Amino acid sequence: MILKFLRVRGASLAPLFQDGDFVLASRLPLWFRPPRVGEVVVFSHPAYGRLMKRVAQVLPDRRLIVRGTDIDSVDSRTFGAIEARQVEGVVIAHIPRPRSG
Amino acid sequence: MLYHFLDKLDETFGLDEARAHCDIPCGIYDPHLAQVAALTVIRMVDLMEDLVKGEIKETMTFHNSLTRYILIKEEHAELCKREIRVIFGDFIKKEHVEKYPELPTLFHKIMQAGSKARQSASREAGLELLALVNRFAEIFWEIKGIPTKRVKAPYKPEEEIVYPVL
Repeated sequence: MILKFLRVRGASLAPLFQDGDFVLASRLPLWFRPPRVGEVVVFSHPAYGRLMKRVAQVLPDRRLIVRGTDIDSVDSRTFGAIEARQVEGVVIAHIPRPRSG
Repeated sequence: MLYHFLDKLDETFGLDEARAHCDIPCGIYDPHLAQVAALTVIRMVDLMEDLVKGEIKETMTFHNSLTRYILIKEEHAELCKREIRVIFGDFIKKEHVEKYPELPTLFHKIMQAGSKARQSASREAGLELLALVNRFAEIFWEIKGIPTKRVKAPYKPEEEIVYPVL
């Protein structure tokens, strides 16, 4: 995944990312460095599929704690830390759906 | 607009999705149903008591009424347990438990009090269930950052319940 446009589904990163928005994700930065705290990453989860969440913490063993911003977000509070190798890319651009009003 | 271009692209070729997953995302949680269910349990015990103390006994009408009250008491004690179970299971997160360490014990007590309210015909069992559910509601609203007040329910059995101040 050098560069990939993805459509956001769900509201766990609302209000910043909303259902229907697009993001541009890339693995390229991860060739040079591990994911950073605060970055939004796209990763694959065996039960939930491809998810995007914000990195809340990088553990000493390089696993990541990921969190959504919504209180009902399904994230590391539900499924624990994720392995760095599960990360497919970091979000490098955000193309929001034009909001009315 | 890049968005509209991507939207068309998605329509035509189907872009992959990244799911910012929520557990449905409904977010509708309210302990009120559990509180009303606990009040109903108390009300049913009161009605059962009125009936037993009344004049008409051993008629079909008597048995019919008593059975109906018991049935509703059973249902609402169970409904109360279910509502609390959903909030505890889906809404309450680890950090809430860390902030309110009484939560797991409170949850367990509600489950037991709910069963006791079903097993017995005791008003005290109903009051105990309501008191526990009220405390749960207080914590719930506190987590949401919404203040609460304790008021008498404006209908029978007129017991005290916790309301959010909105």
